[in-house]
Amino acid sequence: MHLPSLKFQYKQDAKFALDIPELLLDGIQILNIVGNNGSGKSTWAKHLAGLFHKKNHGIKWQYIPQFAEQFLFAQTINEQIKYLFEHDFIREKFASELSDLALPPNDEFMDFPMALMSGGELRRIMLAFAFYSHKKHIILDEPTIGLGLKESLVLLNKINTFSAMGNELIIISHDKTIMDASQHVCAFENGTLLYSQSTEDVKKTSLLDQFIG
Amino acid sequence: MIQVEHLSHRFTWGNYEKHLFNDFSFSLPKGKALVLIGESGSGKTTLLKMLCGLQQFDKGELYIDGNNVRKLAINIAEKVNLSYLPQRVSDYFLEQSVEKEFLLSGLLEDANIQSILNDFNIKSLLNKHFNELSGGEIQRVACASFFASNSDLLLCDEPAAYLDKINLDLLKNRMQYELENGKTILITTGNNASNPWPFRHLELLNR
Repeated sequence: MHLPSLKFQYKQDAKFALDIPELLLDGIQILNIVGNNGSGKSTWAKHLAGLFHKKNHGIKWQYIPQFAEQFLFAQTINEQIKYLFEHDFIREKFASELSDLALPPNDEFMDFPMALMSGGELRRIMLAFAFYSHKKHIILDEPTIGLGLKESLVLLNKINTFSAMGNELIIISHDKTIMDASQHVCAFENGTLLYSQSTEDVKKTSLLDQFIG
Repeated sequence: MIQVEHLSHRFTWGNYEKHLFNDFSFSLPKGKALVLIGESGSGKTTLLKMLCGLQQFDKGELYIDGNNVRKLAINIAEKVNLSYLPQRVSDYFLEQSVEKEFLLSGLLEDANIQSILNDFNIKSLLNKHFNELSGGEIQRVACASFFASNSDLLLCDEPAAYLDKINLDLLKNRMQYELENGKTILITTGNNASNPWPFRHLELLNR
């Protein structure tokens, strides 16, 4: 995984600046980002996905936001599919993404109003769209919020399968469960890189204690 | 005090049907805290909405301090001093910046607000636009206005979401402080394993 260096500053806020160096992580397919609230994790990820400006960084990352309602704009899953895809939509493949995440892959569920669904259901629907998208480079921002322990383990399994197919993932998370999937951890502090270490090494130390409960 | 008696509910939409709480009962005495644990879709949020009178239910009764929620519905807030911290907090902000939001709700004049701003470490966020805030910062701003309401019954839907460890510890301290001041607290969470709440808990079964 090769990630370009990123520098960024809000015009109105002189105090916060993002300054993350280039990350050359050979052989790493799943990277976990940790850091306290406001340390610039999501801002960095959105830059990587080109959401702020159309600068070409090489690889295009797909950003999956931490608020599911920013992604799911339609009233039902079937309606969202109609807006997002044309004739190239493969229903069986999408249905298998749903069942991989322990959601019912039937029309009753896909016509059910998303406004009446729970936070954890919405999050998994958003993740199903992400894994369906054929993108090979995906950023998941806090993917386990709203999920129970069992559902987090289902997601962990899915992440492992996804990377085994040769895809790359960046996961922003405070969750111990999901960290097990990653091979490498980068910690951010105040917009800068605090450390970059293999997950195995970092788990032997107390470096994670300030970020993860 | 909260009493939930023989609660059952069924959602339907076309052919889609979902059953929640099969004859579910529990009680939460005044001045105590309870954590509801359940997988997504087990009804955690729905139960909090029912207690606020925001969601109807088929069978059973809910009482808060002896008041029947079914009879009072949304007017329950007139009889009971309660506050609800929703799961999607960003939906409930009306203004563009934190300071304007607090001005609107009258919080800035509140005597408590300074200590709460300190407790949640959000003083520096006051003049920021909500779009500039991170997920954890938005959650803390919501917590600040939630606790400033100083209600007797606190209903918190996944309050730990988006918070890092430091801020989760701040929130736990605040909950403890509220308990010592006689408040009644109901918390929901999907995952109580990685950083558990130090309160009595109850598991909701997914049907």
